[in-house]
Amino acid sequence: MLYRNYDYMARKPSAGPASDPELLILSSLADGPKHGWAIMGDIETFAGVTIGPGTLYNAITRLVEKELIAPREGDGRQRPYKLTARGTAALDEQLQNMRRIASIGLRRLRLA
Amino acid sequence: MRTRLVSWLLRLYPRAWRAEYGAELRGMLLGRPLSAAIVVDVAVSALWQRVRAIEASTVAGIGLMLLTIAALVSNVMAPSGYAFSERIDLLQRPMRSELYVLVMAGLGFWAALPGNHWPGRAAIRASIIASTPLVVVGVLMWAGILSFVEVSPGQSAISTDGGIVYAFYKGQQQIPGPAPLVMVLSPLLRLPGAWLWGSIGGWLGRTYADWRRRPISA
Repeated sequence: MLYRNYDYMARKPSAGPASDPELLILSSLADGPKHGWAIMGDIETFAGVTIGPGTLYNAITRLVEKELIAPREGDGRQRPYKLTARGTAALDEQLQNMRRIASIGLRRLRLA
Repeated sequence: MRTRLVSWLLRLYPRAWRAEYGAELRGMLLGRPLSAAIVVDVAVSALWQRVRAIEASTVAGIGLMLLTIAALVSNVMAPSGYAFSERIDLLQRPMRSELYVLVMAGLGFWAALPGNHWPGRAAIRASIIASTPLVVVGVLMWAGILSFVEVSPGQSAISTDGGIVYAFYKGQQQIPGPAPLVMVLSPLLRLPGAWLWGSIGGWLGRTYADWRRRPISA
């Protein structure tokens, strides 16, 4: 299962799946490889979430172990990471699930 | 000062992790202001990586060691009498109990799942950790600090004369208690059994892993 409750160090006004570092990193890498700095900045921009460097690299470690992302050749100090085929599929599945749940929740809210 | 703090923070991580990600994290930490929140974030993350790096055999060994200590303390406390022969195996010979066998086999199974080719070795490591308290008791008995008495079924409390007594309940089969030398050597004596049960568990683990990876027939 891709999504787990790993949002212990992410800081965001609202909690929930949108503050999960793993999901945020996968989403950040969806449009191309990025290194740690770029991932952090991108997440702050599109999600309004500030992830600490330790939390970021913990999540990167887990994602690499699960073969959802992989480092590209770099100079060692700032390697860019890219989504693997497995990571792309996992992100797609997770986002589809979230969209389905969000759509059901919103529909029920309107009916209430 | 800042470089030293970053170096210190990185040293909190396991060595293998540092080798893989240390340069990247260092570059990131040196390239931005270090707030207290970031320092805490990195320190907590490092501790979490340390916890993740602990081997399953260490956890199993420490768990069994605590159980062994509980059994030893129970025996030293010398309960006034005993009538539950079922508990003898666990309290008197925790390293020979069914629980020990289950833990060793379970550890071998667990170790073999991700592809560890030496599940018996993982069980041996856990067994050595677990039997450490027995060595301590053996040394204390040898040094005369810990008295050792054998109690037969139906016998009542032991007169301690103010000293510390390690009581061994002989049970219905009147099994004699272990000699100090046997206690001291117990980690070595347990190795063949640990290896055997760990390997059996490992074989089961590998079989299960192969079964899960089997191609799905159309």
